[in-house]
Amino acid sequence: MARALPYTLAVLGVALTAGLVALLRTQFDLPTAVLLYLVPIIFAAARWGRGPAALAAIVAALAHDYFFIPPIGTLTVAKPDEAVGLVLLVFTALATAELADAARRSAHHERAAQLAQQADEMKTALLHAVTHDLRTPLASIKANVSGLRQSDVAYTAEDRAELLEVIDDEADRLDRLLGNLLDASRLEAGVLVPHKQPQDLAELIRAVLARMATLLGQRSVRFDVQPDMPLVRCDYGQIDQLVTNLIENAARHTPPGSPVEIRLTADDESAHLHVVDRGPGIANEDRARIFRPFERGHTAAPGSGLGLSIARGMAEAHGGRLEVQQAAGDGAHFALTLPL
Amino acid sequence: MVDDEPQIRRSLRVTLRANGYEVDEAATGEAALDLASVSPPILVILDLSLPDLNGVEVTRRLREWTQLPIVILSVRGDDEAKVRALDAGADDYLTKPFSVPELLARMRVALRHSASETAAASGLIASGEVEIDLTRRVVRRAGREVHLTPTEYGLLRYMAQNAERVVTHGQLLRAVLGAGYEDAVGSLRVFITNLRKKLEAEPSAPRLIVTEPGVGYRLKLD
Repeated sequence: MARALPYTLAVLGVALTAGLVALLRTQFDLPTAVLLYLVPIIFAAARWGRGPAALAAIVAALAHDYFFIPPIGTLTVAKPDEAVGLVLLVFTALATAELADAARRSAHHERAAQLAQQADEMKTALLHAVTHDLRTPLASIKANVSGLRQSDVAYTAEDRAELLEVIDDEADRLDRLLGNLLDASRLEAGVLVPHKQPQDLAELIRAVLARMATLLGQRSVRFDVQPDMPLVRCDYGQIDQLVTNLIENAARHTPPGSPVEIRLTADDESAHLHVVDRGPGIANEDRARIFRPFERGHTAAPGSGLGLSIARGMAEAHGGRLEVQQAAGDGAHFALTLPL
Repeated sequence: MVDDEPQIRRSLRVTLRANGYEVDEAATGEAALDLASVSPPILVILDLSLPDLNGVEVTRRLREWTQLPIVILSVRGDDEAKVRALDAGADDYLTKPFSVPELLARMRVALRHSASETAAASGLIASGEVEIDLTRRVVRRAGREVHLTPTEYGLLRYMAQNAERVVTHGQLLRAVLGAGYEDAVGSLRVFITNLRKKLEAEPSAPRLIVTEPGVGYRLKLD
């Protein structure tokens, strides 16, 4: 059915043109009117390709002959110049159709090539982000382990403790990144199904903040929870990852010492979590981009470009929303809404 | 020590101090330039990807007024930037992840930089069974004189004068063939192959002229 449609429409176009020729016959001589058929034929070629255009050309020649060329009502042609006109119509129509069809195909190829190139660029960006993000914590771990193994250097107990702490933190960071990569592929495959249980979000957030203490460094974190905050039905692991990504984002994109504000509230239907920082904020043109995988805002801060896209994916998997809001003053303001 | 990753700075601060160095830190290129001008260090460890100026630009700006040794840190995949940093005057590079002993070794070589120029001034450089006498323009292997073409000798001399340090393809080509030949890496490979045939015990597993993949070569001393 779908394949027959272009042919039907092409013939319909020719029929309409024939009608138009009938109306205008008194104002044009016939050979000029013949040119009108080129309009539906070229349109068919550009739109649907060679087949419908060829059919349109042949139907046009036959219809014109039958209805307009004397003797009218037959498929014979009395005058030789009329015959030449018809042959020229078919020939011109077919040649033009061929050209239009070639143009259509090359546009199609170009689009396909463009898409392939975009996919390639995406893969390169992914590889680059993953390489950088995996190697950076590995670099600290390797440096510290190789340092601790130096037999000719006496590290103090304090030094050892610090080197081991960095190893510990960076192993956690690798784990977070691998978790994000895994979640990204699960979100992509649509298999990230939340296992919802009533959870105390305030407790969850405090646990995340404790775990992220090193990364947050000297940034002061203010955490306000509405009194009588209800439990929220959610997947603990996923919301933990979501909140971790939001806080990691705030820590990465703000200068040391700048404050981070976290507010947890609820109304009758939903829980609301606001994460507000005082960093450079998010440019208007970046507001949609930052939620797409492997894309980052126009900052030079390192990152895989995965955290926010996963956070939003998880919010949506819970039937909720994650949005960036206009912050009062500088800084970024992320608002998470989860149904209770 | 210039890196925007706080954990790397923390790691190197502790390990380098334990190894007897004093460490000042900067997280951005601008901060690094300020710090270097206020209290000039004996050596700079410089990460290539910084949030403001990149490592190449920082190298270029430092080289406007100082010859202090610069060791670049990079992540694999940054080959092009690494080469540009070396061409801009950085002394050496290390690819992350690296071990502390490796870093210390590179730092010592970079710090010996002036000492190796002294060796070049004395004119005699020896590695394994190869001897390069720069004053007499004579190269010997196991005591026997080796005949080198002028180009081969030029390349060997440049690498010997920068012994133990990485020299980029561009630096070698400019030094020997002159400006404008920096892209002739293919010809350079041929010259190096010939040099190895004449000087190395096993030209396919070189120990004197080692390849730094994607960057250049390094002449190893014993």
